[in-house]
Amino acid sequence: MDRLTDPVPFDERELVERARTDPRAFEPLYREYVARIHAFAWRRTGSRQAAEDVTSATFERALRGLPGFTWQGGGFGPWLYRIATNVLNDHHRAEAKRQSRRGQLALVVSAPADLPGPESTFEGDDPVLRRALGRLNSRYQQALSLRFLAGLELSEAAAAMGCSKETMAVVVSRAVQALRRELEKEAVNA
Amino acid sequence: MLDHDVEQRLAALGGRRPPAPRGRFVDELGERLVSGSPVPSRRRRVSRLLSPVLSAAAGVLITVLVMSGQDDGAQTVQMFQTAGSVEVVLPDGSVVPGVAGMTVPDGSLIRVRGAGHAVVDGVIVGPGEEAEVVGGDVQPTGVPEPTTTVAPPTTAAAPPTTATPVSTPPSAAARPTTTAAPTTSTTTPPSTTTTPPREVQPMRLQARYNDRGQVVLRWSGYTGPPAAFGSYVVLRAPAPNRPDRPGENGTRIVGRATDQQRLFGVDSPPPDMRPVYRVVALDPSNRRVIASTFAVQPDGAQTSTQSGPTESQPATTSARTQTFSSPAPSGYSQPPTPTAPRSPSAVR
Repeated sequence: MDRLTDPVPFDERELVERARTDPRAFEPLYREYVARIHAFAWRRTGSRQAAEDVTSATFERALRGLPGFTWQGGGFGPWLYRIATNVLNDHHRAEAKRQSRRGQLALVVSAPADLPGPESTFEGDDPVLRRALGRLNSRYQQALSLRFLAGLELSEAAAAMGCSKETMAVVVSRAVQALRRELEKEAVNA
Repeated sequence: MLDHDVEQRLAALGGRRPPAPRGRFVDELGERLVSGSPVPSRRRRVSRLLSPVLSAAAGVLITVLVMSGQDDGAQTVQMFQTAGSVEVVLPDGSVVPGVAGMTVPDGSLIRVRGAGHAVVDGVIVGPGEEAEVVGGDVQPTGVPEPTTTVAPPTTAAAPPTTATPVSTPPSAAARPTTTAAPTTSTTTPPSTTTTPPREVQPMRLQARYNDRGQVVLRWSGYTGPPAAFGSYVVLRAPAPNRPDRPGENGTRIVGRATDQQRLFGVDSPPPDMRPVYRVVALDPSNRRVIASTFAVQPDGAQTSTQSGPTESQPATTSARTQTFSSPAPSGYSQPPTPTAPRSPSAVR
């Protein structure tokens, strides 16, 4: 019996280079990361629908931005997560505006304000933590999301944020403190 | 509360695994990205932004449109090509002839009589087959007659028409203007052929998990003439089923490649699924040219590939050697047999 040899190695770098000019080469990269980006977005939003929106926007932006992608320390994955965090920040801003608009509208239209919460959560979800995270500034959100929710190593997260490892460690530390204060505020208000 | 507690909560949230993305979402987004199509605006998001009053108004408007026969918002598929006798049973029970260019609404049944065939939304409905349009997907329900020879598609796509229900069953006069002979002869060879040459090598498929729990698939390429090649589609079914045709036995398309030299792919099956894979090479008209061996990933093993099921035609390939990296899993007892070109099937 002859053994099936590997005809083409799965080389991320090679695929990225090919995908710059050929969108078809983007597909294996997409398949490689889609579940992780989706999970990341879901952890961050607590909603399947929002996770799908964020995932779509992330890969669209990635494909559009691929020609300008430079292969730095973190590689393709952290770059993708960085896009995802930017998309998530946009999402949260839009969501905040929407909630505000709804609140004002509710004063005019005497209809019950059916403010939708997350469509569906998953076991172990922590909506209180997510809400507090959403109130941090975007840099802190990005740092904590990359480090804890995406599970990137400190060096990868630093590469994704375009800073040194040492700076990243400081940002994460301050972001954790800020998050703790938000959680304490929420506990007091509750 | 300490910073450490916050870190622990963050780590716990990051360690939780939300449900895997919906397969359909993944496939559709992948197709849009590769094809370069813009991501359509999400109606759900738009409707969320609308006020309750506007939502209600929009709902009434959509309902009126749907009720009046417009298909805005409804899921439809497009009939691209027909040959022979094709009929469509519309959701209201009326039967209309299937013609190229017609829009087939959700809930319809497409029937192919005799030696005809239809290409609907990229899915080929072969002779004697039926397919349902469900949720915007074409799902074959019928099984092709193994001894039927299919006349090649000689039909040029007719100008787009809209399905108009008629009360009478389809007659010869109502058939689309096709030239394919609606014959069921088993001996008459096609006048023109797209059958690959007999020296086409069997396709072999190998699957293995990577460290992220994804399945990396590699296959030996289609060795026939490039002109006869259209695309590879990767099929997946939950074990012990074997993927053969989309819509049957849980078989679904998880990937497509139009580059003949593209010989690998990555899939993320649901965590609780034990997947079985197969790659099918299609010709430019989306007809099956050759199918690969099956590839499974038994628990704990590295890789196992096994030949496809015995096809309706005898093996016509010259190389019979198959690859088995590990013993075949239970439930697959057929001897390794190279798969052979077969009649058009519902593969897209």
